[in-house]
Amino acid sequence: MAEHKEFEEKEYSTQFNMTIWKKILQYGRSLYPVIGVLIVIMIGVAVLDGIFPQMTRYAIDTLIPAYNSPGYTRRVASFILNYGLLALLQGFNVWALIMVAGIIEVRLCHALRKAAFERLQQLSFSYYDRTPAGWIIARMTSDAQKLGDTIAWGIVDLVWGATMMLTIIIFMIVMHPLLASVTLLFVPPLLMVTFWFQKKILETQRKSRKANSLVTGVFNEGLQGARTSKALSIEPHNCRDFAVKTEHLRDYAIRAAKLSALYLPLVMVLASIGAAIALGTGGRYLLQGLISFGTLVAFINYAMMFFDPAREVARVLSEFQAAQASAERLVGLIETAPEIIDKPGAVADSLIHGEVLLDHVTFRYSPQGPWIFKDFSLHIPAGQTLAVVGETGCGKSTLVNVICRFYEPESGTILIDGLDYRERTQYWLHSQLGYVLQTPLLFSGTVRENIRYGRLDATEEDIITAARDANALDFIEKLEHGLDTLVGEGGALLSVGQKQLISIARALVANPRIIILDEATSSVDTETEMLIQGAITRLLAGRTSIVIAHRLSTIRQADRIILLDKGKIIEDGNHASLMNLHGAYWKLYTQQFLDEASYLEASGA
Amino acid sequence: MSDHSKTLYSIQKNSWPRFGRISLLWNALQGWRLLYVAGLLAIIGEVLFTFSSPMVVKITIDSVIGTSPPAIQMPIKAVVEPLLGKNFSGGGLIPLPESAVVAGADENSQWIWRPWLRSHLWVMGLAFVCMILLQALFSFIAALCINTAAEEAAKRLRDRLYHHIQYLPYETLLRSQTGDWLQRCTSDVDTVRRFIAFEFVELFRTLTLVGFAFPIMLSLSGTLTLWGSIVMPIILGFSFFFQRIVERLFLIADEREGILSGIVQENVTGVRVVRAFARQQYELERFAKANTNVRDQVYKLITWLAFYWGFSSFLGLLQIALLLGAGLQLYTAGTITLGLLILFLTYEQQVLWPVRQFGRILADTGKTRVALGRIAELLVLEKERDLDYDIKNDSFIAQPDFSASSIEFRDVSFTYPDGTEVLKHISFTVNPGEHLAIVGPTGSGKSTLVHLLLRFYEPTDGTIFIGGRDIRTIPKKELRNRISIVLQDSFLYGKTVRENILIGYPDVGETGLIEAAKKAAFHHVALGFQDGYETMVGERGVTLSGGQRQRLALARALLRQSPILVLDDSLSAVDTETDRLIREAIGNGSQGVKNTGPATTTIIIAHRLTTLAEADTILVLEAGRITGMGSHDKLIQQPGFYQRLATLQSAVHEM
Repeated sequence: MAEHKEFEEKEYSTQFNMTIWKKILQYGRSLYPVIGVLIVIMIGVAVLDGIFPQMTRYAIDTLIPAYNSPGYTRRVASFILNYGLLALLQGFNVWALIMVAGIIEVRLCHALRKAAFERLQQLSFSYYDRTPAGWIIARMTSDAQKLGDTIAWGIVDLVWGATMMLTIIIFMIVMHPLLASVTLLFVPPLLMVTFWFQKKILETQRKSRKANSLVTGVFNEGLQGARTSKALSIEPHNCRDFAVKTEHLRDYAIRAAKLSALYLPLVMVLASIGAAIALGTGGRYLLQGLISFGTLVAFINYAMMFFDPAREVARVLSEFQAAQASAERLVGLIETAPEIIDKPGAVADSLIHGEVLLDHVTFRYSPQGPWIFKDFSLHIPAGQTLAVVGETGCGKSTLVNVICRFYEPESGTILIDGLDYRERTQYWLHSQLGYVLQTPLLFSGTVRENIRYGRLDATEEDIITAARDANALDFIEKLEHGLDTLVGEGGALLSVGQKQLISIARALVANPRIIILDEATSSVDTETEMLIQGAITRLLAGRTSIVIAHRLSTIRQADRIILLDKGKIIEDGNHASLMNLHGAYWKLYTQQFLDEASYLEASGA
Repeated sequence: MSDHSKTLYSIQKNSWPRFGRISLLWNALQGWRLLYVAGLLAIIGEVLFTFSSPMVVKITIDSVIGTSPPAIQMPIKAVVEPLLGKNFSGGGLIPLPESAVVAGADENSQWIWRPWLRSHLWVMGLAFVCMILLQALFSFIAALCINTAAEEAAKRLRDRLYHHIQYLPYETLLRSQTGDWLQRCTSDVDTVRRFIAFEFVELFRTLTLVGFAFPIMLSLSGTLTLWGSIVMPIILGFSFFFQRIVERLFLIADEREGILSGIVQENVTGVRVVRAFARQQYELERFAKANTNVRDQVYKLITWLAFYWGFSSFLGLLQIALLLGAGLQLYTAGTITLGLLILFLTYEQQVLWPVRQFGRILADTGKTRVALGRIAELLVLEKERDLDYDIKNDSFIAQPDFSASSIEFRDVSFTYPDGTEVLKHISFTVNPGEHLAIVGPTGSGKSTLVHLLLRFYEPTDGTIFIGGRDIRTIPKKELRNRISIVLQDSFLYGKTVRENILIGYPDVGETGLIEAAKKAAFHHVALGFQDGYETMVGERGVTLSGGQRQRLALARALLRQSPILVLDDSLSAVDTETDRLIREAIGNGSQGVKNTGPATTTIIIAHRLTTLAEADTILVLEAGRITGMGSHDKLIQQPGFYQRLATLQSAVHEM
């Protein structure tokens, strides 16, 4: 329970953490000049936005009074031309800002994903064991995206908003300092209201998002558990439960909507007070001849323009704060150190012969955790088929984990062909290892691609041979596109039995010297079961094989069986000798394997 | 047959027509329609006052500072006329100030209120604030009404979908594609919510805005209006055209994004395979390709977006330039006043942005059409019938006494909707309190047989009786409440252990809970967890082993104390010893009946000889037919599946 807590969504950091942002920007180092360009463009956009009311002012104050002077029409024409040119310039600016900000967003997201994925390929199994897959996927997809988005468009809105406010203030002061100081009185309360609301709005939105993901979870459960609910006849109970969850979501969502609904009118009124002051006071100045018509109009325009940039700045700042959690999580992933790394000078020199020796191995999953193996020794001669049996938690899977070097022993050594495997690279071992999983996992793509996964340079002939040896060719040929049939995500379009056969073919095409087989317990129909057993027999022949066995036939065929209990070998021998002992193996066999196996045999005979 | 069944049990593309998408929307808004309409009315109010505040500025410039007569338009006119009198020249509710009367007599040409307003300019400022205040008030009311209605509608839609799914037939649920359905229930509903809350409202607002702006502007100056709307159609057309392109690009980008996260997903869940075959490099290349694909597509998208916004921004400014140019000419020709020109400039800016957005919003509406269709496709699936008494066959009001009732299958056959024959001519009887065991190879129809008893399916032929009564006359709800079944793959909910056992029966006390858990040999397991019965099950808590899951599911079934108990191979992952203890506890062991109450009638699907041998009757099912029936002692004498099984299993025991 405790280890899951750290993965609970932490969405908000109150402290602004500069180091995290620096680290994130490290991945966009090549983008620094581009960011500089973006800032310049945004300043340009904001200044131009501020200049357009000045153009109107010029028209009113300078052009109009000269209407009966010679060349008036020409002046108007050149004014319109200039206005048009400025419009063109602004259009170009907008184009450039979207291009540049887009490039930053995309490249940063691309770089972050790349760095994170590369790290994922190096991370040790211990990381995967304690990290839920969904958590990792969320970091890779939504967090990376959110960061690219927040940084690129955050810069846009922040620079624009700040420059715009500054431009407005400067123009106002230049036009008439006194009127400016009166008009701008509304700015401090506007900023205060804006910042308070943006923070609140973000907070409630977060709450409603959380309620939303809860609803999604319950929907998911409602779908997956619908048949069980039906059997238990608890549909009304479920519906009531669900209605409570959607009520929460609705309430949070309405609360967030209320805040937003309140904010905009409020700042509009605040801004209008500024404009009203400009109108009242400015109008008086106008009558007194202190300012021109154009200036009055510009003041009113500027006052009403002010709240837009203010809102943008406040929004971006709170978004940065929210995105910081994403940044922390992603940086956390990228900076996780892999626990197993190749020694400097590790070699990948030879072909594996297949002898495995565990010499006084001790192992536990975490420094505080319980010991799985203490002083464990086991010698597997090359070519031997070893079946490992025992109750859940006896150390079967751990044995496979350390032999495959998914984990390394705390003390003691594992020697392959007489040499400590830490003297070789991980690639050396894994490229000569075959691994067939309890729950067969295929990758989306064609059947051929999945088999070729075992050996990338396998020829068409190799693939067909492997498929045939795995008893998979018959059903593959019956598929609509044969070997080119798509298997769907995770192999979802195939049956469990078919997936198992293909995963055996995948191991066969690799032609490894050592094979690890984690047998499935799931029941497939009798016919498929026979096919799988035949395929397994061919897979294990002539290779060093370590089998976590669940099938009677596999156990019987094994050269040697070891029975594990709490990390110790308590019985060691072949089937006949162990049955004669009438000990723990006999008991396990009669209690666990027999029912399943004889049932299958009775069905199939 | 198979085509027909498909339409019955799985989602069909475009099967919504009899479900009208608009009526679906309308239905979701039930109870909140008035509020929504009120919100839309408030939008009209907001738009009206959007036009009013610039009018105050115009009057100030033209008629207070300048000397033109006030040309006040609706809607201010309606408010101001009663106050200031007809044509705003006195006689209204507000008496003319003395100075105005005197001054008015002097200068005939000027507005009668002008002198007073000139010395009280703050009044115009106040009027300006009032206009904005009213606009803000309407905008607040609109947002409040519309968002409330939208959220309520979304809740209603979600509840309805969930309810619908809960009551779908077993077969439909078996065929459901969880991911796709989930999307229909969540993101599609969200799309609809956004349509109600934003898109429709924006469209309405834009149309209202243009609808009001045009006549108002036309009444003020026809020529200027013409100049002010020259570029608008181009902007509008451009935005439509552009949306078509971008929508496709967005779709491809989404697709590629999906492929990318699919690769990450497979890489993370399949990490053992990747490492065991040393395929990190291969995976990196695969990912890099997908990552670059996403990037390139987004680039393409951005190039178009940049072009669009850049160009439309230029067009918008160009429109203003044209208006300004024309305005200057008209002003110098004396056709319009300065205030009017400024008023037009303000209106133009208010209309420009919504028009630029129009294409995008209209494109989003397309998404809503799709989403509504997808939701309707789900809702069109037929619900399970006969759940309750009031539906049909009410003639038999008296409840059958399940505890003293025999179960009889009389010549029952069953063919799946897709045409596969599963059961053929099944006949047998189980007396009250008896234990029936069913055995047979995988796929022989064992599960289907017990599913028929709970009316997950109806027999294609023959009849099933409980206590002599055809079960088709017993409402499904009643039936399922009295028969406890533990499915082969029972689902555990993401709740605590306690809630999982008590589900549906929250009122059962602590003793009942513990008793059921003890019988199912789960009590000590629960106590072994960190938080005991309060431990969360599933992703956010403990992961249970197969055997533990089965025992929890059994405890849940036993808690109901139903007179009939069905175990569908649901102790397979429990070891033999525990299996024996459980069967003893539920009165099915060799030690005989331990229960004090009326004996439970039990049907167990199993393949353990020890389990089978203890049953009163064993039923051997092969390829949908009964190939043997009787006690262990009887069946072991007959050559066949049971004998083979018994020989194989006992051979080793004797070694």
